Amino acid sequence: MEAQTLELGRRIGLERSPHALVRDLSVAEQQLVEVARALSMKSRLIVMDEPTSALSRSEVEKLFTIIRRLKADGISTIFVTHRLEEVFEFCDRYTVLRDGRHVGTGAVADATMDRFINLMVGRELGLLAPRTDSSATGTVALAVQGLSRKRKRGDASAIELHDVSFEVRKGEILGIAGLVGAGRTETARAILGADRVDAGRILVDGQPLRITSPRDAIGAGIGLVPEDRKQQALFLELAVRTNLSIAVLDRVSTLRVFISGRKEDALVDEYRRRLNIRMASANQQVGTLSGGNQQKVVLARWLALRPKVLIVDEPTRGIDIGAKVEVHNLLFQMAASGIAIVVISSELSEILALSDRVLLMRAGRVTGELARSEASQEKLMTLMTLGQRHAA
Amino acid sequence: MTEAVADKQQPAPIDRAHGFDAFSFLARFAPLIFLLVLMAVFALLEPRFVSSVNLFNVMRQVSITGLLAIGMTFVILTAGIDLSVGSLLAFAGLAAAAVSKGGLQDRFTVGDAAIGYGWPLALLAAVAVGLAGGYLQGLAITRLKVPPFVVTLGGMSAFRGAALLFAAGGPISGFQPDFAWWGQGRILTVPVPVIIFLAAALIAHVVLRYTRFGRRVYAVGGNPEAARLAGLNVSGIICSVYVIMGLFVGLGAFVLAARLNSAEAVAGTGYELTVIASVVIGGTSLFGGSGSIFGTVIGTVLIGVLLNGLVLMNVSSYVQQIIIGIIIVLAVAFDTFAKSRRRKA
Repeated sequence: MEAQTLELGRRIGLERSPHALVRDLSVAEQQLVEVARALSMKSRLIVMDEPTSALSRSEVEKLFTIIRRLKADGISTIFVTHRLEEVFEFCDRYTVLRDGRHVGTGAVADATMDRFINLMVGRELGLLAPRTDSSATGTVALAVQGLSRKRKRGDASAIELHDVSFEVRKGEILGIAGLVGAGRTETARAILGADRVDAGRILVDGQPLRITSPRDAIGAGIGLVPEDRKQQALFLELAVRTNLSIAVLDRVSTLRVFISGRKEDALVDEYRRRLNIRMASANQQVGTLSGGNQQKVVLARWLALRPKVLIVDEPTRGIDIGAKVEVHNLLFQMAASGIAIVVISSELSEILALSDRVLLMRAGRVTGELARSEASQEKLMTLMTLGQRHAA
Repeated sequence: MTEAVADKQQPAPIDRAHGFDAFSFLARFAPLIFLLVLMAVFALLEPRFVSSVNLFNVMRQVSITGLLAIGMTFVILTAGIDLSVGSLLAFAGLAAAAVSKGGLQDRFTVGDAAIGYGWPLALLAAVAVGLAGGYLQGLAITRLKVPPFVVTLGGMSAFRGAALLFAAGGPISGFQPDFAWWGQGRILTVPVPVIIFLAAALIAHVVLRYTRFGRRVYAVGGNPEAARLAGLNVSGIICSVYVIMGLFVGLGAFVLAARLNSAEAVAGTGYELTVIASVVIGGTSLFGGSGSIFGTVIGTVLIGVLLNGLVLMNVSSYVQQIIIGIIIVLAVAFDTFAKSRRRKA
């Protein structure tokens, strides 16, 4: 059995002892274990549902190589993805589904990106429009100084932070680019006080904060739209109204105790219109909304708080391209209203479309910074994977 | 290969949950429907069941566990559990009784011979013991990070021991009439405990449905991590539901002592089962975040009606226990099924 495991591992490029615990592997390696398991059952067809969403670029390449090898062995793959580039990169045929309906099938060689987007949204829509004008001002809204965090026993996350420092100005959108494991999410969580840190200072409007919990950070005007909206942001079985108003209950209450249905209805209605949230009623369970509308509810929750700084971690993960454009426009509007925005995204095209300035992170450190005019996908990729030395 | 399906311009479907969903309607009112059916069946099989004397009797019998079930609803909404309620009830009842008698010396004296304090102080003593017990357990759960099941299992043993130690094994009986009135009196033919139970239910309903605190209880139960990241004081809210549970234990202990005109260390044994069953049968999810006081009241009455009907029909108490056990498992199975359906929706 050990020999078989080793043989399977070799076949897909997983060089690990068969005795290694799966929880100690990286996300990419864990995915390879799943592929290996499918192969061990002599599968002829492997369905991969968003296998690349948690992988870095080089890991994606590796996965593609493995799938090509499997293809040569006569094994078919159904590859489900939101990243259209990946379809062009290595798929033979495509099928597009929209709202649970089959809307198109064909050979990738005959298709174009515009055609896909057309099929997916059901209407003409340009590619993600990059930000043309900046609303950035001269005033620093958020300053992070020397944020550090060592791995300790019992920590859920293995990622350390080393002297992470940066500033974001009012009205500016700062993108943070990096591979999975670079420490982007950990930085965001540390700023919000969701995880403890060993050292570092956080200043909002020049005032140093004492943050021991998310409550402190939120009180100081910092908001976080977390990476995983279902696990970390939404109360899936509760009504849209509860999900939207939970952080601003003082705005919808009377006598500081009771919830005013009237004020809450007004709040929900305001954000339903402003964000174009499609829902049947304020009492609808948020879990029954589409991903895009769920994300808008999370954004509305933070907008209602009128934050000074908003950190959005993977703001468009798993939502359709129409909603994605809406979310982007919303972030532009928020920046224009003076909010300092930090965007974390694994999609470089998204980082480039949104940011005034891009911060690069690698292995828990800030490794570089680019103005929008200097940034390109290739340059970012080089800095993310190789670090500063090789970039020039 | 070319496009197989035409790209028809269809209106974007609005998200689901439009119109009438028979299942969710049924899920919501299942306990009430079950109660009404049960009452109809008993009424047909046993005419004595529908007499007003009997129905008030049922209500009076369930009012104590009903009070506890109201507190337990708060706890279970946060995905917690409290197994210590029966033990704490006994301890709090003894405290009320001892205050009423002015100490433990005259425990068996009845009537004027008892020189103690009035019922307000007795009530205060019971509630204070309940609150303190609940707060201690809440602290252990939130500070020591011990699961509620374990903490309150410990509490179940510890409070019972404390009660036995306090009472030195014997009951404390014979209170002043105005104390006993809280358990035995009537207002316009309605037993006082029933009025207390229903009034408490109404207040708890308002708190859960219409206050910020209630909203936060549902949020913490629904997704504690999301609640924390939204800036809620999760530990504080979890601790507070055990304090609320303690408040209802104190109130229940006072009413029980008044009704029996006596308090003893073995009072409330096994109540945790009936109380948790009432809440769960009433549709509150053990997974937290979903449920209501209305459901708990229905669940409480349902268990009372079931036991009363079975007694009237001369079904043995052993069989009754089996039936209650089966109903609890079925209620939770239904909840699990409903949850998986909601998740899929």
